[in-house]
Amino acid sequence: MANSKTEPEGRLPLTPAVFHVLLALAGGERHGYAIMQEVAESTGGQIKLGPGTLYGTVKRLLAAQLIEESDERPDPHLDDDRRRYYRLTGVGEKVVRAEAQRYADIVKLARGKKLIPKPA
Amino acid sequence: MLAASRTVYGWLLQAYPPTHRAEYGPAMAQLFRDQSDDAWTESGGWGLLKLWLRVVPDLIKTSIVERFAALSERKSMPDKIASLVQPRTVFLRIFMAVFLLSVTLSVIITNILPETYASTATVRLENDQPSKNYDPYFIQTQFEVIQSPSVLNRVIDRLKLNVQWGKKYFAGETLKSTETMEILKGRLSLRPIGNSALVGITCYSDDRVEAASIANGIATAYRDYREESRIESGSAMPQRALVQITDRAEPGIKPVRPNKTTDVVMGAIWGIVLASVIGGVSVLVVLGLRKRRTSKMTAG
Repeated sequence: MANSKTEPEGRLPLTPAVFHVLLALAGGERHGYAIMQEVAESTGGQIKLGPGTLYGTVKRLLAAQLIEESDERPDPHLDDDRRRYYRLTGVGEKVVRAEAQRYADIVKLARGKKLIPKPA
Repeated sequence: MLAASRTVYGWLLQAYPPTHRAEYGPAMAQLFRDQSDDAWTESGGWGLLKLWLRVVPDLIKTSIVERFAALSERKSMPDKIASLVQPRTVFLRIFMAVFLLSVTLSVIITNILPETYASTATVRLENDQPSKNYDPYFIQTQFEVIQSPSVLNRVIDRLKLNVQWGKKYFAGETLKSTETMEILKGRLSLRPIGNSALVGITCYSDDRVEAASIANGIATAYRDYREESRIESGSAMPQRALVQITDRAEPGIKPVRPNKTTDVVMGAIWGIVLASVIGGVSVLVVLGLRKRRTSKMTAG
């Protein structure tokens, strides 16, 4: 029997902060400020991660091996080379896919109950 | 202001446990720098204030979470835990952190808030129907008259407030009189003076001269309105004017808001209350953790 913690579904549901950070990193590796901006933009400004929440989430995601720190550094002329970049691990990608699918199932259920309209 | 904010945030990072601070402190400080740059570029001091109002609860919540996470990570070192989780030590540390945070925040807010000046014109009211019995509602009725469109529209027209406030607050777009009146009412305060027929008309503004000219404008407009109403109603001329401006408003020397001393003292008082509550809750959590650990050791 598979350990529920080793399966992506065993780690669900994710907290909104964790899900949005993973979603931001699904678009490629990013540093903290870029993650914060991406989350604010994708949620229409509804979720604005503070430094404490962002780096607390990053710390837990690193510990859970859902993300990893990238060794690559940007060109110092283009960006601050002290910035730390993060990217999804293979497991992280599976988990964010599973969570997105879970949301999709919920949306499907809500549509079935006519709580939200069907897409045109 | 930006530099001061960054320095204060750097100090506040002390609220996090040393390991977390060593690992993520510089990155958090850098993120705050980026956010404060954005907030300042977007809305100046107001943007910075909004950022602080978001960052402080985030800092309090996450620093407590990280402190407890750090404690639970050290469960394998019983001696260290024993020294770290002394309820008194926990209470004092959290109390000091929350108290300092509250005082620092009140100092920042009181320095960021725009200054407001107040000017008061004093008028003496006479009842235009002195033959009638004493009217206990006379002053309240006159307060409503002073705040009515009949009086305030005169002030708006005479001082050209639709244009002036449009330029000042709405990027040059001339306001409608109804909009200006709402703003004006929000800046107006009426107060009977003691047990007399005198009423203070106080106006608040970020411009000391404007505060005085609006207070005087309202007093004059109200006086004119009462005189015109009397002529229109054809009532007999009384010996005295119905409204006498006894003191004209003068521009204030010092702003009435923010009152920096009061704000900081209030911040300190709230800090003590908040710090006691959070410190108390933290002690209860620590005692709960110790009890659980003792039970586990006993069971083991």
